[in-house]
Amino acid sequence: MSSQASVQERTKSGARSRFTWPEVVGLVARLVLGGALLVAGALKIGSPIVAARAVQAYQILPFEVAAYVGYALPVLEIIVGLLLVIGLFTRPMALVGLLLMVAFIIGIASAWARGLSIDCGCFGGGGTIGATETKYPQEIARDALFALCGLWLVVRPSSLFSLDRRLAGPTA
Amino acid sequence: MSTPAPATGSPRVKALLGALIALLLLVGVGGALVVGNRGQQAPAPEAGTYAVPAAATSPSGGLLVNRDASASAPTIDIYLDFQCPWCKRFHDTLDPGLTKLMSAKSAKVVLHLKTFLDSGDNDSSARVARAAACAADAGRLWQFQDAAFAGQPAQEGTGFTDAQIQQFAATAGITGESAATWKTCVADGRYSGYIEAVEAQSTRDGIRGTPTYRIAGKDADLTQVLPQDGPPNPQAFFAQVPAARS
Repeated sequence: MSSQASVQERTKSGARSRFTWPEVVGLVARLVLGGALLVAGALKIGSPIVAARAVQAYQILPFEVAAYVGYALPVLEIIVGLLLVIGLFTRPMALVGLLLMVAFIIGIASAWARGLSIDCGCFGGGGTIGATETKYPQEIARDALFALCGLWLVVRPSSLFSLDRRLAGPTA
Repeated sequence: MSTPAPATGSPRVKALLGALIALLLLVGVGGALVVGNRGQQAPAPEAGTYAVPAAATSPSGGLLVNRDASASAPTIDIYLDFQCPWCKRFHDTLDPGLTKLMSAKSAKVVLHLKTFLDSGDNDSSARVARAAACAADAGRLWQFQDAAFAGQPAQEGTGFTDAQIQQFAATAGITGESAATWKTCVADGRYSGYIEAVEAQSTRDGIRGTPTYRIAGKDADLTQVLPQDGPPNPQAFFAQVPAARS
């Protein structure tokens, strides 16, 4: 592959092998975080009103502002998710993904702490649900996992099969 | 190989791609805001341009179920969407108590029939809501909503067929002449404007999800009604209704 040269250039220990384990982890992190964002955005983009209600249900942002966040979020998630999956602009996109996940965790934790009964609306749906059906711990754990993927990629954006790698090209 | 990458190489490609993506993001988010905003504003027909059921408390208000309630009785506003599974759960839990309150004339029950779960090809919430408004004309709204919730599909988003909606009316006891009137009302889409107005009004009223129950204008606390562990606890709701306290 034409990327061998840049592998050597970009990694400390991978001079001899084609890839290093951290790069495999990077690939997995990209696919997990990117895939999750992509799916979450795709499931919500068809019903903007529902997405707006889901954000409003958190009762954090002003009603109107929350609606706009609901409209815009799916688009952002799809674009960032797609870029992560193909590995283009990995570090900045991972940073955006990480910040999104941190924001989601804060939102869910806040709803939990205030005793609201809502669905996180992460993958569509959302809004008020019965107290028995809330899944705050699971939702937070899941988003924390995604955040971890983001953090990894911010620290080590280099990963296998990324377009970043390809574009860096044979420079040696 | 040992020469530096040509000037036309990857840094420029990447910068170009970056600009392209930034543009895409801008257009995409902008487009989403415009589309979302239009969806928000579209259902707000001007009062006076559409038919309003006699049971409606105002041109964009809910439908009063029991007009014979005593004047001093507190109002219980229920914001629901017939496609919303949690509306059904709460309905099933609270319906007997609400029925009892109404037969004692000690609460006014007002249904706000929301349609926000409609999207794309699915217009079931609006069709059922319009049919329910027609059922209110026949004085059978309460029975109709019971039938509609009983007939809610197990899978959210499946929606209702027209035949099912017709069945709800029959189950609600709309028969004979009133059945003919109901059918005309539904076929004419008489209350489509009204139902749109109700949806828009509920947003202005700050309804953040369904179901929302308001007792005398204040959001009821629903958190204890369907507890994590243990059976449904309707008393947690009715304890908040002033008239129900003895």
